Amino acid sequence: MQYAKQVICRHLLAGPFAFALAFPTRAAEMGTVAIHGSVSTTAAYSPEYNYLGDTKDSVDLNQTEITVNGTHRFENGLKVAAQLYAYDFSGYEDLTVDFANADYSFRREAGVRVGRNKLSIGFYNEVQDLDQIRIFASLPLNFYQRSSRSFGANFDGASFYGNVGVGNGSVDYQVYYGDMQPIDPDAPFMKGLGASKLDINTTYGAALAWNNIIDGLRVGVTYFKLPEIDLNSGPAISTIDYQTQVASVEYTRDRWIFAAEYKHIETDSQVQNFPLPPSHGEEDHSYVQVTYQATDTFGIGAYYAYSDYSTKGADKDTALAASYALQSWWLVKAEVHFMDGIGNLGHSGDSNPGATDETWTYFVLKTGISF
Amino acid sequence: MKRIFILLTLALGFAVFSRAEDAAFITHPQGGDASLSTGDLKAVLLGNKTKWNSGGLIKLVVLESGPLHEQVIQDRTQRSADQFDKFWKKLVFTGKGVPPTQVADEAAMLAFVAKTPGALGYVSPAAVTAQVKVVEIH
Repeated sequence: MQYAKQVICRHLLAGPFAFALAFPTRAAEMGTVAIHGSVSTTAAYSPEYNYLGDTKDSVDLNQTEITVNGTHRFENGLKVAAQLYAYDFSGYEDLTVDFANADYSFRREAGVRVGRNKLSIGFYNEVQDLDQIRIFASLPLNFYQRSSRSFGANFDGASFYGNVGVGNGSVDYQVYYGDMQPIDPDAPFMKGLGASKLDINTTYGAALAWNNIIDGLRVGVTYFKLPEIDLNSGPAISTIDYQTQVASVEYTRDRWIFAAEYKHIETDSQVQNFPLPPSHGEEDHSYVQVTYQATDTFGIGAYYAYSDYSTKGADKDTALAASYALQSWWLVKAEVHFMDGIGNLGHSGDSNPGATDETWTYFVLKTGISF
Repeated sequence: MKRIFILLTLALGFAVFSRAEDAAFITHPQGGDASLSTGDLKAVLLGNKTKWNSGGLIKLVVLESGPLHEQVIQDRTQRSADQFDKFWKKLVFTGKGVPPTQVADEAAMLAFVAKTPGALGYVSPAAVTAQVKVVEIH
């Protein structure tokens, strides 16, 4: 099954590239279905460590991503949309249905979305694959971990949402309930975890965002719960209760965007097949970021991120980035990360035997086209 | 002092009047609402409101670029045209919105609105024709 997916992945690589190059500047209309997509590839390098690929002392093309979506709204207001996401990440290939849902908005204040939906965790989890809308190639690495994508990209279920006018602004709300798909044992996240089985099962949560409290200011909170994860790690069979709370703020003024987020994660684990006491873990992540779109084609950005793990110390990441639009549909990006900490170094299963040096650098180049 | 106050009041009044006259929001002669609040107009432009208050789908149409487009988007959504494009990209790539139809110029805008029941677009006030209906924004 995995092999079949990989073969499909490789064929998918060619199709959208050709399509995007043929129709580079605008979306396609097939009947009344709006078709959009993007293709990107990323290279990474670190003089010190393998991180999200074989990056130590060599440039690794560690990520290729292809996204194609279609959207159609019927005259009765029902909207249907679906997106395929194929990727090669750190040598692992997969083809996923990123979302496929039916959406009906009864009125501005109330709507329902049923099917596979994107997960709202913080302001940017839903758009972690969509670098065309930001200066940085990647979101803050330890806050939105790429290898954890399959652990929080989407869910199958229902979402109730709406937008309520408040003063000069508005409030977006969303509550959801559903199931998440099991994670493939070969995925980088599973290697990092040393796990042979991870069934996430039920998920529920909520997101609230208050837009335009003053011009350009948006604040929000999200809550994300996984109450019954089944994990097989080595000989241990465990049940885990996982929850995340995120507070977010974003301020846009002219060509500047300031953003800051704080995330708190708690896990409670109980080993089922050995007489061990329950364990409790906590993580805190935060970052502040500023970006400046200097011209229509050139932008720069910087962020500082801090992660505190209850079991493996703290990681700090100071990043600088630049983005240049060769065409409105073609971006190239470069960024450098000055890292302090190795607590999260093995998150995607990268091998770094004997790693002790806490300070290291990580370089990223990315180019992508969208239509 | 009184003279300065009168001049400031006139200047402010002229500025408000000018802004209100910068663009006319238009819809198909049959259907659509006679008026929209500024809050509802912003909700339409940002994909949160998809139906007319009187019923029926709102089919949003925007200009691809240009000074009128930039001014309307800035005034009505408090975003630059580039930020508006990225906002819509975010909606489309998360399955949350149907992107607005884009047209090249005001003539194409008028033609699209005139033939599309439920359409909502904008042109400069002087360009309004009898084939479309002006939506009052209040």
